[in-house]
Amino acid sequence: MKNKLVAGILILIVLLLEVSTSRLIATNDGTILGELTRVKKPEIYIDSFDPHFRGFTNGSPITVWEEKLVSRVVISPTSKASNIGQGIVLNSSIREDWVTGIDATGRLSEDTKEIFLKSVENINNTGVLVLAFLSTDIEILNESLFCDERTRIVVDEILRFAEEVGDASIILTGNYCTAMNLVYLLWLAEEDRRVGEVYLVILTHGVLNETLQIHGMLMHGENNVAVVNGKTLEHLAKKLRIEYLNRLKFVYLPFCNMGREKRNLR
Amino acid sequence: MFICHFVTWVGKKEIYGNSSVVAFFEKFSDAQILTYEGETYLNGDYIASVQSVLSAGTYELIEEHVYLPVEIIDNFTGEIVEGYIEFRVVDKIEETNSTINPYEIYDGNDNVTLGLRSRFKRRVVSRRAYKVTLHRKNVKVVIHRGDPPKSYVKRRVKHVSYEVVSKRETFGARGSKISFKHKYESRGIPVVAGRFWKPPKNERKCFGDGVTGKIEASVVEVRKVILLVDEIFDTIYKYYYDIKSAVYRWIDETFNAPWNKWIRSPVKTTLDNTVFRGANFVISFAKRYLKTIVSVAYSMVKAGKALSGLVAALIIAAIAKCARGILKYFSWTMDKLLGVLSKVLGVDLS
Repeated sequence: MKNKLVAGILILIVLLLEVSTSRLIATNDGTILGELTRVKKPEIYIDSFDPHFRGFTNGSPITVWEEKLVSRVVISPTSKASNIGQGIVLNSSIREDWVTGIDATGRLSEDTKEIFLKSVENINNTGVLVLAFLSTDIEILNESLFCDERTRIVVDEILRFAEEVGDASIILTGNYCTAMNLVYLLWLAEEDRRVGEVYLVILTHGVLNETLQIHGMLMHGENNVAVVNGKTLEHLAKKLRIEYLNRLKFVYLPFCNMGREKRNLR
Repeated sequence: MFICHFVTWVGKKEIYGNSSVVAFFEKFSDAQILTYEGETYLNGDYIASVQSVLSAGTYELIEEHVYLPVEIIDNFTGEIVEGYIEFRVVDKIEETNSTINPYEIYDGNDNVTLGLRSRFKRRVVSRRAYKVTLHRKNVKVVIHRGDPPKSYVKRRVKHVSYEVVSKRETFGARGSKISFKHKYESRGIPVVAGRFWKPPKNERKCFGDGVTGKIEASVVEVRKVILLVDEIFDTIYKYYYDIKSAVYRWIDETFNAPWNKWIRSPVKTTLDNTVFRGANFVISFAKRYLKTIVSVAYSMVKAGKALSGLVAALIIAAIAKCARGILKYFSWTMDKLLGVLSKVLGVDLS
């Protein structure tokens, strides 16, 4: 009898606990749901001090891939927007010291001509020269393209193409990837009778920032990153008195924005 | 909290055309120009599309049959029979129409762009089917009875066209697509200059003799070792073609007599299929033995030696591991082969 009483009391205690827990949960759910209904969409603050800024207005829809709630989104076309510790700052990766246009020519490497002569020494006038510029060492957000395994597969594909298709091929990487070297090599190929056709492949990052009016492809400048575009290349072509590149037959630019950069004026 | 970076404001204004990279090539040449529209994500689709473009063109496929007379001893009767060995080296082009990309291993949620967009975890779903071209060579060795027929070579041409990718745009020369001629016999060895990867600046710091100083110093050492891995990969890319060229040159010079010239093609094909499948293959091979390689590289760097020797040693090790099976047909003992290669490449394997 005594045992039955103890067992009964225990069951009663357990039941009471169950009821209180479920009520507690229900209360918490209600609180959270209530809180969620009060959450507003993140407000967008525009870095209005920048006179060049345009394109975004308050209330622009924005999707945030973040698990936590975001209360504030600051947008700036420059890389200077300060992060005051609330929400998200969307700004540009284009750094202040990057150069573009006619300032983005970079240096001519001392041995560029030597590299060219070494590569074409065994070809005749029907030969194909493959030129590949691989700017895989330029760091964006502390990471370079080369550190990514997927880029190395693409680099392999380009190297295989150079080896199989080119009677001669030149692969330039790192500091050799300057606009100056590129145009100079195209000019050397144009002048050399042994070269029949030139195929050009460039692998890098593409830039298109309409607000800052910076567009082109990333290469090496003199001591910094250069955003090389048509202006840069045309300036160099003028310098080298290039009228036409008759031997250039194929240009492959497998990276961001090159199509859009051109298409925007069509 | 994170900071995300963007560059592509999709504007309606037309401001760049004449000063775009494409416009320069359009103005100064009649080249066919291929570009990608908008953001380009480094995913399986992208890699497949690059592969599709660069592997397109005309292939000369060679089928080589070499017959060598031999005497075969019948194990049961002890009788000596006249026979011959047939070496068959056949080029093969396989095209696969894949609805899923062939590099799905690299097509996770983490898409990296080749613009400056941040590394958002954005899902880009593959919708296109790409034609992927794989070039292989097969070596087969068969023993026959009887008199050997005359050795012969058969050649045929195969054309592979590339798939048009929805995001890709063509500018410049209109008309028929350019057709690349892929060659295997007289390949040009690419001249490689520069660094694929730039090591961060070496900062010399004095940490002091205290416990904290020692811990900080060891953290710097560990960081150096981690960076050494990228340095090794960079060196592999830099010296891959030099070493490949040295090995193939050695094969050409060694098998130069009229009676052993035939051996070049099967040996090179074997190496093409096993070891020289691209610099990234050597990197994958290196990754399997990364601990050892990093430790050797660390000692080499400390001793002031260039890492090119390590790459040569790696390739020799890859030959020993991957090409052992088929090379024994040529009566090469692996030790002898490795000894000679070590000498050719100037590596002390001890």
